[in-house]
Amino acid sequence: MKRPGGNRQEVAAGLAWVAIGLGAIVIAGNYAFGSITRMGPGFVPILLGLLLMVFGAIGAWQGRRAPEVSLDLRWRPFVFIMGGIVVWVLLVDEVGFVPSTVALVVISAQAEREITWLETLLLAAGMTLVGYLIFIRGIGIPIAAFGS
Amino acid sequence: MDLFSGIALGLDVAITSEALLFCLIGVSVGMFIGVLPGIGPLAAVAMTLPITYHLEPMSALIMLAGIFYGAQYGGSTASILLNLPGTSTTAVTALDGYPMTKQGRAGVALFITTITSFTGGCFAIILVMSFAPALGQMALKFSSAEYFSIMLLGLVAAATMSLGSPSKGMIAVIAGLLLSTVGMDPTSGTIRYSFGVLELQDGLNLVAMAMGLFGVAELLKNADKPRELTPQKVRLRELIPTRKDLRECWKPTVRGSFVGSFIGILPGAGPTLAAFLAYAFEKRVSKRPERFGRGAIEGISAPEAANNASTQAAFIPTLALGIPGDAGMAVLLGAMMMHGITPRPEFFTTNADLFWGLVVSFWVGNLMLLVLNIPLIGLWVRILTVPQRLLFPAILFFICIGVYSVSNSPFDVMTVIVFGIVGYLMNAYGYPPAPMLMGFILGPMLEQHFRRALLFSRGDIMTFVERPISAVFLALTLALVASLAIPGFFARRRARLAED
Repeated sequence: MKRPGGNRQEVAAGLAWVAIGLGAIVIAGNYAFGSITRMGPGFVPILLGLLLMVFGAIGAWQGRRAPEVSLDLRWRPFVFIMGGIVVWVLLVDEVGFVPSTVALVVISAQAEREITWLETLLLAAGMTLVGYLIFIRGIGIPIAAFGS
Repeated sequence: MDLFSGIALGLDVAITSEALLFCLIGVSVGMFIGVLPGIGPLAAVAMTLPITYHLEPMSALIMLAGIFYGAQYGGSTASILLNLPGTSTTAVTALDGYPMTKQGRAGVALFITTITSFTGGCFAIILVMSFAPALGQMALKFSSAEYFSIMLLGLVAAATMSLGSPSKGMIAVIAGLLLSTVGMDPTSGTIRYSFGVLELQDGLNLVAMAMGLFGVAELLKNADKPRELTPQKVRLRELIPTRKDLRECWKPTVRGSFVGSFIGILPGAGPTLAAFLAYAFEKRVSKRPERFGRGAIEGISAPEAANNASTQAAFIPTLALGIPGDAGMAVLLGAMMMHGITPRPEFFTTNADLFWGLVVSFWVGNLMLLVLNIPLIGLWVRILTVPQRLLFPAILFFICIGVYSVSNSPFDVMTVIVFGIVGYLMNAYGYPPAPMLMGFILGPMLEQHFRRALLFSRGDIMTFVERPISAVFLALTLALVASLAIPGFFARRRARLAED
């Protein structure tokens, strides 16, 4: 739907890219710029930052007439999927592969409302076993099954 | 080396028990991933990449490539049976495939798409064998200016020919290029954009980024959405097409193979575009275009031949120039580099066994897919009934352990989370994540060739236009950019694609 006021979300996204481009340029200002014959490490990042600002501005301009963005941010999958990864990575070096994988499966399974506890537990057991056989026994990645 | 001694060499390499085994594993995994809606070949290659570290480069490449083209076969199954594309490249197949299912002709549709996929794939393999070494020969004369211009064309094409807004595609590419500058600048040794984080000094990890953008972001989008997944049973007897079906599909298959191969060779244009164009072309040449969308057999055979042909033909620029056609090929290229193989013109002479072995394995793999697909069709359909609530935690586990095992780094797993959020936001706002990944992978090479070209020309920017081959690629790039400035051109073409 085209509204005369435009689409704020789209415009904001375009402006966010302009800001990122500007940030990239400011940081790259600390690196040697060099000349066009002998470019320093700052040359290309500054060029890219400028390009990002230009296209971000175009995006924001076009966004005024774009259809409404439907951001269906559903908290449930977001919390449980991201939470599962965070817990796994924090635990894996501390308590070992088995407990952290069980935690990952149990937490991330809650992203779906329909799953039963029996399914969750069977899945956790299955994934832990498969993962142990492939990655610890098979490939030999240096993680302990239990403990750090 | 001529074609036949090349094939003979390739047979020696590809017909060993080890190569056959990894080819079989690759195409089966690809088929499986392709059948599952939501997880594409890109995430699949990224997920299996860590496992291949411990293999011989040859076996690893055969397996990863198998996943890649195997997924093209599998993708059509969900498109036809559920009107839900297994991979984005088979979205068009649903337009006529699903109506065929509703008419009780699902078996025929699955059979035809398998045969046309095989035909398209084989056609393009012959092209790879004949043209990739020749292109490599030609590319021996390329200097940095030519490489820069070709990569620029590839990136601009990837940004503008995807099915979204071209300016958003350009933003994604530029953001990807910027991300590639994180870490140590190889020329001066300066650390860029590390924000004082030790792990960032080596740059961002490709696997972690791909998994975030294409694995976690997809899970976030699809989780907790109830889906009706009850594909009907398909019996072997129902697979057999009538003589009329075969008569109607062979010409579209040939045309689709041509369109697909052409698109595949272009840098920056991938199988999704090939399938769309083949479908649009078929509708245009058809005497009775009104049948399209209502179960026309031409509507499934042309795009399926095209996307498979394009996937195989995309190996031509990837192997000869080191320039991937789309994001999936870019990840495959990344995998090759991790195994210490850098595709470039000399590849065909210095690594002749690797090249011919790989190409012959494509043939073996396509044959395996044909054999796997038709008698086991019931099994693949059953995979569709595995509930997503069991699948998603399993996929998430493989993402975590897979990324961790690349360099035993918890930091890489955190990178996955960040790019999962980035990918989710990009999807929500209509920014395509695939061009971003392409920018990230080509970025270091692009910067290096840009700097080197201007060093050789003593700062004269005209070097890019004075060299004829480079000038041609720049002119093509400019033509693409100009077509953006004429909004009507793209809008009309998109409208036509949308209505098809």
